[in-house]
Amino acid sequence: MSDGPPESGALIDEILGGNKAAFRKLVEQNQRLVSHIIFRMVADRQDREDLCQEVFVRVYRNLREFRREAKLSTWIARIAYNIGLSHIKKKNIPLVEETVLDHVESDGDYPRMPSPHVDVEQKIISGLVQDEIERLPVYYKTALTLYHLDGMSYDEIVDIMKVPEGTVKSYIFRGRKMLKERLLARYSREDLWN
Amino acid sequence: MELRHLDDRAIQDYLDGTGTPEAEQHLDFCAECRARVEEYKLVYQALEDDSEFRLPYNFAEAVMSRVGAETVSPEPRRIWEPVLYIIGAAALVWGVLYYFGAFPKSLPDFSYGYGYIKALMNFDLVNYMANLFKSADLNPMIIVMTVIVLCFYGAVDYLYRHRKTKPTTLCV
Repeated sequence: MSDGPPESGALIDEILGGNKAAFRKLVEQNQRLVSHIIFRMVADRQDREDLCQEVFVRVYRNLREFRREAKLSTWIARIAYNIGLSHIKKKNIPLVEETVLDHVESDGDYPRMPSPHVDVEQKIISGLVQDEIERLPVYYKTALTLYHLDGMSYDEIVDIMKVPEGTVKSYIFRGRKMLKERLLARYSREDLWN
Repeated sequence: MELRHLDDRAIQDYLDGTGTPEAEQHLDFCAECRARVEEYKLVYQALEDDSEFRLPYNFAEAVMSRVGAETVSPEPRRIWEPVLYIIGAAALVWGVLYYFGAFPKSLPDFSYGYGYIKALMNFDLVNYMANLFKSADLNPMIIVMTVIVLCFYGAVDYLYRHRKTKPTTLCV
């Protein structure tokens, strides 16, 4: 686990001293990270924004409990992940089992995109992959988001998700592989490059 | 030179910048594997696209209005806190029921079990406490009620500090 930047220590001291402007700065610095995690985990648009707010309220209330040997952003990400997870459980949204997904993959129930040699634009492909990311198990898409969007290391993701490093690597590897396979289930290789 | 095609793991490692030199050499001459690398690149690009994750411009303001009247938790939460409050709440219920006569005015007879403890400790705690209260001219009920009130206050304080606040509506 790496040390947080020294300026985050000073920022925390100011917030603990009652400086609300300092907390606002913390929100602005970390809202992108929190939105990545919550937006990936939670489908409902209104719930997403409420939960992002809830993350920062929780951060504010519990800031004194933050142990400074960890990075502040990792601690905030862990709070966001836990809030997202308990929301999913509260709403009885299934944390899709891998076996189900493996089955879906081999089902071949993805409609193949029309006519070969169609001009598949990058934007369309990106949108399609985004839809497929939504369908991934929550653990996979969270690990992928933390790695790709927030540039976190495996160690940091381990700290956030509280699973062994091998599991994090497996989530990331299998998530990418699923996405690639689903992309190819919709478009042939020729369609993608013509 | 590696003749076997790269597997998915080798391709992902290559794109993560942790690939082997052999994998790089293989890609120099294998069009099939280069095409698979390009497929994965599409996935990587989509994974790095956060254009859909836009919070409203006034998000920070909405958060600030929610934490407006709050203060940062004054001390770390203690693990035994909730246990103490549950005991306090149970004691309060017991006290109310006792007051309204739902329970017999005398406590249950614990003398059988207490006999063992007394023999084990070689000390009559109940008698000692009774004498102590008597000599200090204190009504034990006052002590009990004080403990109940303190526990109740603690429980209310705990619930207040861990309450859920209403989300602030945002304009996009």
